[in-house]
Amino acid sequence: MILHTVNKSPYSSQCLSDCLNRVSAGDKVILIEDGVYGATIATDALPSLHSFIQRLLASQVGFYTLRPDAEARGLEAISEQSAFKLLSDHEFVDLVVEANKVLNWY
Amino acid sequence: MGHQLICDLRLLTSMKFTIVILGAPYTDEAAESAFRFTQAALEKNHQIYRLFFYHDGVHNASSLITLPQDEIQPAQRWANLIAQYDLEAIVCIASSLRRGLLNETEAKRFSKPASNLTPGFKLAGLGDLVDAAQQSDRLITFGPTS
Amino acid sequence: MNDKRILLVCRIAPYGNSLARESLETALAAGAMGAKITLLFLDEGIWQLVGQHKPETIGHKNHAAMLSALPLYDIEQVLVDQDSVDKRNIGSAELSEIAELIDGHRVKEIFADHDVVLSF
Repeated sequence: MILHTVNKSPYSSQCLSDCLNRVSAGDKVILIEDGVYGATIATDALPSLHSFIQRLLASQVGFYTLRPDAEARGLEAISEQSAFKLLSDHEFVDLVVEANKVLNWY
Repeated sequence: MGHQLICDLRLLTSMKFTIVILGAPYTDEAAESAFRFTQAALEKNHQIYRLFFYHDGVHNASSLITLPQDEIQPAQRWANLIAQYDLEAIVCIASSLRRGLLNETEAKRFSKPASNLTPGFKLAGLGDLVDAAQQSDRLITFGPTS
Repeated sequence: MNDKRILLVCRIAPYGNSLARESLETALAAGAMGAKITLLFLDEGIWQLVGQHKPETIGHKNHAAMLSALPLYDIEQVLVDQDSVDKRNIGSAELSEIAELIDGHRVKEIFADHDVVLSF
């Protein structure tokens, strides 16, 4: 399993879609910093990315947001209702340990 | 079930991490993210093999950063963590010289009026980044935000 | 020295930001140390391989000249992602021959085949 971090908003940067184009089944993706704005992706916000994420969820790709970054930006509630599971800093460390390696998209 | 067990055991193991920091303090969130990650890893009893400050990340080591007292003091905060856990914090020498971050030796060598590397940080070459990639169990990069 | 396979992923265009240059310096350092390193140009990183650079017009050193040093430093593999090239309307004739074109499927295999990734 590869853990991918993404730190840019999908509304301003190709970073998330560049990452998603290269994930494999079983990989995990965590949104950090401005990346957490990606938790707002829905059928009527960036629809093609939304359906891409739905397909990847079906192939066991895990999606997460970093809680301190989401909370700082007032996105906690939105994140909780999204496909992205909120993780603490400690859980982020656990995810890095669980992964074989980390790829950082920025 | 078996897979779950392997994952759980792995989480109990202490691992050697290297953290690469590419963002300047204040401007970018990268250094803040890296700091919290480092702290969380240490709290979970992992080891930090090396902190490697590269690109604009070298600015984190500047002793001349001046912020209001109620704000986080980046270099001092790193220096405290480095001292508390006896961490190795390498600042890439080539990136540093180009950005005006010098220790006393370099300041003398290039006849500069001052040095500004915070104690606790060390200037060294890129070989230390390559070595860290080879020797650590996990390497994570915090890239620039801007 | 341990023989971990290091993948250096370079996603940054040259000149606009020093990170492209600093990523190549990392690759050269790894090569000089005899590390097992693969360099992969992805996304905006492919611009490093495109066209005849004349960076003196903006007071820069030539990035392509640094690229040409890669073989001298024993970098095992230099790869470029075909999808990133196609997306930018670049023909393979316009690409530096220093890198081998690989498809998206191979990119994922390259990720899987390496032990550690330096992400630039």
